[in-house]
Amino acid sequence: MTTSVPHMQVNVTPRISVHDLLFRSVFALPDVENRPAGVVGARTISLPDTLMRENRRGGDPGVPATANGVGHIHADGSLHVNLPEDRIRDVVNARWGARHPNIRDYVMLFTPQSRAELAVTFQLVVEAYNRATGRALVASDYLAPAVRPLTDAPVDTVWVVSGEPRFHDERRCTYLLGKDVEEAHIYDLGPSANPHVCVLPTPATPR
Amino acid sequence: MTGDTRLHLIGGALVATLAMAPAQVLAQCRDWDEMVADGSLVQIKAVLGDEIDLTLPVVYLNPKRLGRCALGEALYDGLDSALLSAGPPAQGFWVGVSGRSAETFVPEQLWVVQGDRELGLSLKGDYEVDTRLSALGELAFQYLVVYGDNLDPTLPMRLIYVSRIGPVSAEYRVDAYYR
Repeated sequence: MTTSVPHMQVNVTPRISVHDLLFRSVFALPDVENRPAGVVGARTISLPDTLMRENRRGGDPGVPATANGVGHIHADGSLHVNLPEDRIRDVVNARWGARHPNIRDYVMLFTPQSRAELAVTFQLVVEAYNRATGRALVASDYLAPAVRPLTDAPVDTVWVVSGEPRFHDERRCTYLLGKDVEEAHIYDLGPSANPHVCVLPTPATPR
Repeated sequence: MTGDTRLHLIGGALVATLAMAPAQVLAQCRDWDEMVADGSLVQIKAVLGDEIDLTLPVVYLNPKRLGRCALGEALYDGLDSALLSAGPPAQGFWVGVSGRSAETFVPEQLWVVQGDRELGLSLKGDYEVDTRLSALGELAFQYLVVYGDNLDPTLPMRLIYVSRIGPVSAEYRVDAYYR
């Protein structure tokens, strides 16, 4: 990662399936437009000026005008987004990203490399979106599904993990439960306390 | 029409030439709109204002019935025996290219994802012959792209093209009619 401008990750190749999900999710947010960014290969998560002005009139403490309020996605899948200072601190402490060296309220989120990581990254993007628009969207409503499963397995197990320094590996969720499951999701890699929640679908039938 | 299609192995020296007879349309094949409707022909679109106008209709070729309907019987059978069923795993896709930005299409930027597997391109070739589908749609180019891996045709897959405006994609399922 560079520590000056251009502020970017280095030597990162996104997983193509996760990169696709990131774009599908972000540009499914209402009123968001995909526009070129000042950084080569990056795409701005753009909002109409009218929407931004409307929110500022509504008393928002002041979303920076940078990148039309939300941020941009780099070609490698990392992002810059506008977040308030306390949330940036959470992101940096959890090592999910790095503060921009020059721009206030701007943080780089590292490239998500799994669906679980994407869920966290997208949550932060939606927080930036809500801040810019004054809306209260819920990230899970817009997170694009991967290939749709033929049947959706009901969730029956929630496994709360704590005390891990940094943990966002789906396989570890599965390992912790000690059962053969097809899929695991992790939610809410929270701020400084680092709580983690693994949500596991119904365990697969023993083979 | 030259009567042959060349396949180039990316990063290697192999150049295979397949001699193929003119395409023969199968009477029972569905038309373009029907194939779009049943999901066996998907169109990946990278279209955004003045920036890009690129549409990629794609068909999976390994299911024989579907492959024949895409290429025509004689062309497909040559491809199948020389490559798709020749031994090493090979998953072939027909890709049409249309739109104002057709010249910008880069086959290496097309990926196939199924489950946890992400398949990057192994072979590519451009069709210098008419295929059944090229006769049905208005295309600037048509390509054969091949992935040296296995896919399960009974499971959905995602076709992803990394365009200049970011990745664009479409879900692909082989209709039971073609299996």
